[in-house]
Amino acid sequence: MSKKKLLVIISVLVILLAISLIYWITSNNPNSFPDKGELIKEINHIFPEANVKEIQDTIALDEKHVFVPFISEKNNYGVSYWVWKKSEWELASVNTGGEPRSWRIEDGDISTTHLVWNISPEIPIENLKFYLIKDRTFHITEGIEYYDPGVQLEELVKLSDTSYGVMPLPNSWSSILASYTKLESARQPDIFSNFFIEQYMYFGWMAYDRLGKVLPTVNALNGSGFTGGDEHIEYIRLLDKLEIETVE
Amino acid sequence: MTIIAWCVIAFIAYRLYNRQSDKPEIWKVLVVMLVGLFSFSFNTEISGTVMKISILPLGVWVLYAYFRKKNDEWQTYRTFAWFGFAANFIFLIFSLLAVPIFQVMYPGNEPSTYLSNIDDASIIPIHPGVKHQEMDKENSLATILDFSEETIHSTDWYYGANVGVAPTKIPEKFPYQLIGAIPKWGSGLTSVVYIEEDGKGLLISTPKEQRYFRLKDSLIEGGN
Repeated sequence: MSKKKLLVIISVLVILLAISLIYWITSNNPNSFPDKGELIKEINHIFPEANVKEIQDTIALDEKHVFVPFISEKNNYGVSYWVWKKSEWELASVNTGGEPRSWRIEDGDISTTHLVWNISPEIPIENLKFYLIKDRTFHITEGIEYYDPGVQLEELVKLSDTSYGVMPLPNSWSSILASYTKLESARQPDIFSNFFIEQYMYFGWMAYDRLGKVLPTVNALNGSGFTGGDEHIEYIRLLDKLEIETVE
Repeated sequence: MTIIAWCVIAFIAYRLYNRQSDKPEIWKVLVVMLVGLFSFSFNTEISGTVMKISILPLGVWVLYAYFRKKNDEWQTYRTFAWFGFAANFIFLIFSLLAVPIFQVMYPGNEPSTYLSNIDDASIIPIHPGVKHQEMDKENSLATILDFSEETIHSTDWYYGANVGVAPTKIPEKFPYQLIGAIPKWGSGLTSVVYIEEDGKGLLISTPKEQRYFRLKDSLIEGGN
């Protein structure tokens, strides 16, 4: 092989390496988030039904996940979820109703769940109460008894200043979820432990009006939406008074 | 345990090698032994641990086929090939030994096996019926040494929570969880620890079983 040929091959390799390095750096380091005008355009383009009039805020959950609440032309309070993917900001999901949902931003880690909502001020909800629940169970196998205590964690959120909000899991919730993740992965080392935990633990919510009364289903919170990609955005259960335990 | 098993194997192999009159190359001996280790086996569970029991010396057969036409060499390496297969049983003996040794070092019927370091531990309420409580860290390591193991009354605890509970009483028998306790060093135990309202009962769930202990004193500060 002549020297010239070798030189050409090496320089091609160097250029390829540089390009992939630049690609790697840019795709892993999110660039600036689109401005409000661009967001409106993008949402209305992907899901015209949303009919966005105004972007209320952009709330970064971490570097690569942004929650964007909006108001539509018809005065609906909606939500959109943005994710940094393949070197651009992608609209992962959009919905014209802002009832509370959970967004687990890291696939394998249930403690990275955030609770998000956007509730029109016209709806008479004063407080939201979020729950993390594990039902109490027992079983007896071959004479060996097993009792699993019930878990009911609560977190009250006041809806005073803004219609929308993001709540990362409180520390106690994360550490309890983490303890089950650890136990389950020791039980079933081959299977994703989230799968088991989601069988017996769930998030829930309840709405209270100004007088502290529980509000039943609020239809105005329902909406329609579009979801692309594989983000873990889920409805959380609207609980009934009878489903929770209270102590006088 | 596996490390000790490897040491024993290495020691025996060394003795075998020294006894040989003509010294083959060491790397070849190692390869022959590793191939000899390969066997057809089945797994069975003995007192909660999976044991591998080898039956057919597949590796030795492979080596025999390879050395078929080189009889002299086969005479040299045969011992090591069979010793490789025998090593399976050395591992088996050690994993059988490991069970009682583990039980002595990390007894499942003592709370201190699961909670040996509580410097970073805290008590978290898991039921709305109880208030946040501080853990009595100064005394807790001594507290968990004075205990008795009790039977789990799963149905009573379950139904006690669901029917006939006076409204002033907390329906959950174990309304606290202990987070951040570290098990005995080297045990590799994973557990979830629940605490009774008085701070004196510990319900410990491990991947395999559950234990219930009553302590003489409370783990909760001011609980005595």
